[in-house]
Amino acid sequence: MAYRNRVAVLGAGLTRFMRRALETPKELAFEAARAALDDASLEIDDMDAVVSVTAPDAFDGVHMNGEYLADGSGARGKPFMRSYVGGGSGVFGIINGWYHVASGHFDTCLVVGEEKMSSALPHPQGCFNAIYDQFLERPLGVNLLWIFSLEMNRYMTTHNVPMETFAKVAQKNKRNGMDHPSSQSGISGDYTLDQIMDSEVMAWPVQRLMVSPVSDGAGAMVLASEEFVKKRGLDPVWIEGVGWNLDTSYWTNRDLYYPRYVEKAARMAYEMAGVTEPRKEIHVVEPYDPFAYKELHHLEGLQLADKGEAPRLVEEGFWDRDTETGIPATPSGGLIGVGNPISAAGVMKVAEIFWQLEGRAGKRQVKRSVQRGLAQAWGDLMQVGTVVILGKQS
Amino acid sequence: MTEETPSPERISQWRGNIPIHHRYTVGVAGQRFFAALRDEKVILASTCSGCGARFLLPKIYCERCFVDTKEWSPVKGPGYVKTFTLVHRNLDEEVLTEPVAAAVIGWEGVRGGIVHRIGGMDTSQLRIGQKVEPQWREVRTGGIADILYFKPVDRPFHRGGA
Repeated sequence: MAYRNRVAVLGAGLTRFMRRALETPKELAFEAARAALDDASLEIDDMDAVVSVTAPDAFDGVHMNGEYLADGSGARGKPFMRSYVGGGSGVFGIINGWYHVASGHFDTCLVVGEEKMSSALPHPQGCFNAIYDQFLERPLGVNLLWIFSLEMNRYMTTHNVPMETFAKVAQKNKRNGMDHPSSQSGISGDYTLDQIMDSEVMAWPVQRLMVSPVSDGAGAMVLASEEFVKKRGLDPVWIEGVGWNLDTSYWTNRDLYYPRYVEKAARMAYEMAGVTEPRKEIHVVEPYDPFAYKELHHLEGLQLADKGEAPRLVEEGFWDRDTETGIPATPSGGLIGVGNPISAAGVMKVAEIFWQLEGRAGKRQVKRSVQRGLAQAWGDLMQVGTVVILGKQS
Repeated sequence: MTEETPSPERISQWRGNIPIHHRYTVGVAGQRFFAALRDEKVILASTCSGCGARFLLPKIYCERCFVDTKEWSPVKGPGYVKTFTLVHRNLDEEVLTEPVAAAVIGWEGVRGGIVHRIGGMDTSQLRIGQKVEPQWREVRTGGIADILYFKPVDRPFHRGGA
């Protein structure tokens, strides 16, 4: 596949993630976009195009939420495009931004992800109810916890995974999140396994401390072409691969123990990046972790572990931030340890890989040396995988 | 293609809604703007720290320069009608007993404007360029309805023309 431009990442910015932000969605978008421009030492006039990602309009409670967010995202008077694939949107926004620059049509693109879930009352779960089939599922009062618990049970039963292993994933991510400046108040922390396993059962087997919270927040990244980078004499991180894949919305007609759409998205990205042995060539990974089991589920879909092997590797510390022989997974703290403003959380995952590769992750910096990393998100009706691979080699 | 029959009860259907309602925070800029409406009966504009433009509604950023704003100050003098309409039906398409006049109102030296109702006059005589000022509510709660409507600044000889 030929592209006009290689695409570099020049900067990233995040707001703090919060349960209830005072800021309007536009204001959240501005704070993140401004931070990303500052990180890249660029101004809005340097941006040729803007991409916005935000999940269902119903969260913010604003129809045409992309258009609403546009001026806060720096898009006034610029080519602007919103993309949306549910929870996969954050990482998909980077893919969309990559498209803008790779096409040769634009030298630069600002990607802004925003979510304000706190606007929806009595609970944003009400928004999720309306993503299901309106005849077969919605009349039953279905919400996201149903579908996750059904999937988790299928996964844990298929591979005979003890609850303690999932608790260890939550413990790791909540500890990692303690070092993230954007971490939502009360979400990260040094929890014991007992505390996690004794937490409230929300929809068995899903428990409170193994679920990401409801969050408000925004994240942004600055992308640029090779020509733009060369003119400025920069040595940036590059987008080496992108992949995405959508499975059927008849989620009942798939075996939920394995996310085949994540595998397809990953294989697409690996092929583009020239990665043939992901377990050797991916050095740090940010799998989507809205629930503890999802991290393991996705690591398997990403081909970083065999089916059923990811839980065993938890016991070996293979995914820990300070591993020297494994692949650190979710060094940021992820959705469980930092928070889950949906589209912003996906941007946060790509931003973490960017900062890790630049060696700017501070206390979160992984121990092993890293030249290539992968960020992944997931969403829609358990049906979409979105993958971005970043690399440091020029 | 199959049209519904004229008897809807014969159509198998499920009625539902998205089971949420919303609470919108007015935000960092909004907190200040609406507090000033309520407490001081003034309309605040903000100033860009880059280009120096003053604009409504006030924001924490200038959408042109994409930098923070500074200095908030009340708009001065009467506003003027930039454009208007007379609305004859409400949101549910019911006929209104009296047409409602809605206008975009601007101020000299201020970028942007606000939309509001026009009252206190025979609105059939309303023209673009009409100078107007707010009719404040006695009891204000910190919302756009703290202004009941904009009323003409009584200089009939200024009517007409922008």
